[in-house]
Amino acid sequence: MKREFVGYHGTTSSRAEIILQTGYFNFTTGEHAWLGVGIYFYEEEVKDAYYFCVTLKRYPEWKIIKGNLEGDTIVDLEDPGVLEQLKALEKKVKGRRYLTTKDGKPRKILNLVLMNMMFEATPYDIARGKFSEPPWPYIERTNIYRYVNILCVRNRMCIKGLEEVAYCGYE
Amino acid sequence: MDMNEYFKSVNEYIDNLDDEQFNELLTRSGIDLCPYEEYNYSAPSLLFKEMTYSPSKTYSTSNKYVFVYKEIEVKAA
Repeated sequence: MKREFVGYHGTTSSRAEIILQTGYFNFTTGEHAWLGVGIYFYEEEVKDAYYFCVTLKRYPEWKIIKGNLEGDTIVDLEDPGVLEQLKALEKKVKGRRYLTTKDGKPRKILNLVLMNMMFEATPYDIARGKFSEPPWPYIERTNIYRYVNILCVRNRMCIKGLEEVAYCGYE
Repeated sequence: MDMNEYFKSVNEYIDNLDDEQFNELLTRSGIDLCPYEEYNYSAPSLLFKEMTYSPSKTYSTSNKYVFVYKEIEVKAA
C-alpha cells in the first residue's frame, strides 16, 4: 500500500538551486545518516528544516525545498512491529562475527549499519524515524525535549514533486 | 510491501551469507564508522601491586613512578 508524505529539505542556497533545476539530490552518508544512506527530509514541519539550516548547520545562505514523497515499502521506526524486527536483526548481527572488523576491535552497531544492511538485503523506498535533535533548545531541568520526524528517501523515484518554500529571511 | 514479509526477506538474505560475505556487508554498511564497544580495561596485576606500594621515604610523584618502574624492571630481569 502506497504512503504519501510531505517533507522539507534544508540546504545551502547554491545547492538548492541545483536541486530545483535538476531534481537531483546527493545522498547523505556517514555517521550522521541516522536512517542510513539516503536523501533526508523533515516530515511535515517546515520549521524543523529552518532550524537545521540556521541552528545546526549555520548556513550563511540557505533555502528549504518541499518534496512530495510517495513510497510503497516504508520502514517506519514508529511501528512497534518494525522495532521488534530491528531488535531481532541487531541481535542476529551481533551474534555473528561482527567483531571481525577492519582493526579487529569490537564496535557498537549503530542504526545506520542496520538500515544499510537491510537496504542491501531487500531494498526499501523510505525510512521514517523520530529523533531528538540536539541543537533545539530544551527546557532546563525538565525532560521536555524536541523531537523531529525524519524521512530518509532511498529510492529517488519516490520524490514526486519539488518546490522552494522558504529562503533567507524566512522569519 | 508488508513489513513481516520484508523482514523475512532481509533475514533470509543475511542467513545465506557466509562469514566472509557477512563481514563485507558489515563493512559496506558502515561498521567502521561505529564507535568502539567499551573496554573493561584492567591493569596487569603486577603493575597494580607496585603502584599501590607505599615506600617509607617520601617521593615526589615523578620519582615514585621512576621507583615503581625500576622495581618492575628489576623483577622482570
